[in-house]
Amino acid sequence: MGQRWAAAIRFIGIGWYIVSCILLGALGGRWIGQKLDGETGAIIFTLLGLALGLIAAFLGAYRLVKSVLLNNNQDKKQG
Amino acid sequence: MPKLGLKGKLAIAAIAIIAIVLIGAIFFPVAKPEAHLAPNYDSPFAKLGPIYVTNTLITAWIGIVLLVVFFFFATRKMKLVPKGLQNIAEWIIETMLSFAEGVAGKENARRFFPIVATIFLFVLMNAWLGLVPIFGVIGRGSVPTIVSDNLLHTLVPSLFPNYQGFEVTVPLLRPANTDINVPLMLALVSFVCVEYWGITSVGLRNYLSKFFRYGQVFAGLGQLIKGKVKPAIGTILFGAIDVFVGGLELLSEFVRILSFTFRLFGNMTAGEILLVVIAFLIPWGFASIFYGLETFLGVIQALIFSVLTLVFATMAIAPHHAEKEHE
Repeated sequence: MGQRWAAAIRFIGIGWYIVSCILLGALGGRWIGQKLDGETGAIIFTLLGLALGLIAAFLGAYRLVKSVLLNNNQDKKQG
Repeated sequence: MPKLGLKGKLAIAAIAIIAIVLIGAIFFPVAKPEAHLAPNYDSPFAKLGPIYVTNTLITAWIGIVLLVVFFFFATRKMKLVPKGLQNIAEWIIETMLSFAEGVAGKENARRFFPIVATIFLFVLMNAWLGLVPIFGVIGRGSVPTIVSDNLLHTLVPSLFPNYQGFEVTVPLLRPANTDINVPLMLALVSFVCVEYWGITSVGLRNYLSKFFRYGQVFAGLGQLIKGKVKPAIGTILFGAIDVFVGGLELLSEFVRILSFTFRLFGNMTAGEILLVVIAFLIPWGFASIFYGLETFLGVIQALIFSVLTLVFATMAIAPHHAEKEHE
């Protein structure tokens, strides 16, 4: 029972997780770029950070869905 | 007297709600709300040494005091067969504990429970305290020169008046969750605890190997030295991907702080603003619907914060399988 609730609550949390990943990636990249090399660096590192954030967001969502599906399949086999 | 059917009861309820809204709108209009994102720390608030006593801090203290007092009196004279307050406290703790055991297993749940339950109760207390009507209406303010129109006044100006008089701009009490520092503090506590549990359960080396996965790259380099060039290239390539995935894992660990913070702060601040805006647009009865919604949302947010902490803690103490699969 608890497992299912936990999965549902993690799904509620996924939206903010995706937003935070992308934001942290892009803003972090921009910050690093500005520290290293003014404007040009900022653009490149922003894009790099954005890409990293997007990949992290996708990976997080993928893992969550995968773990929930695995749990479901196990439940089906047991039931 | 004839018995009322469902339709009759609904009709009476609808008429009562409309009557309450009309009476409220005609006789008790509500002032235009002031929404601040930052907490107020200027007067009437004091400064204790280096600490600014903000209105949200006062609320957090009140919440803590209420929780402490409740649990103090509930556990003062404990009996085997609980009565009254002790009964309520036991019900709260037992429900939460059985939920936690369902997620994390019996042994681990008891280990995580103190932190997770404290987070739940603190967030819930802050959320529900903010719904008490004394919040946001006591404080520093002024009588504005320009009066803002509420929705009903815009529709029928002759019947529904606007609020005229004193308006609070700096409330004395403000829900603690609407101050971004409170969610951030809770997120940091959750983060530190999860990392601590992870490290103490699987060992520092094993725990860090989840993030710094250089094993395969080194194995590939070893193969290269031995002269096995073709398999070495493949191993190094997969090793590089592994290093990258480890980096993402590390990033996602820190992203959690951010997502925890903004989820709670955003939901609670939006709820607070929604309530005051609805109460301003259509005074009285109508806002009660949203009060119900916010009561529910408070539980949901407290549940999300605590259960996510629990889930991440459970994930952190699980032995790390990914590398074994590769090998």
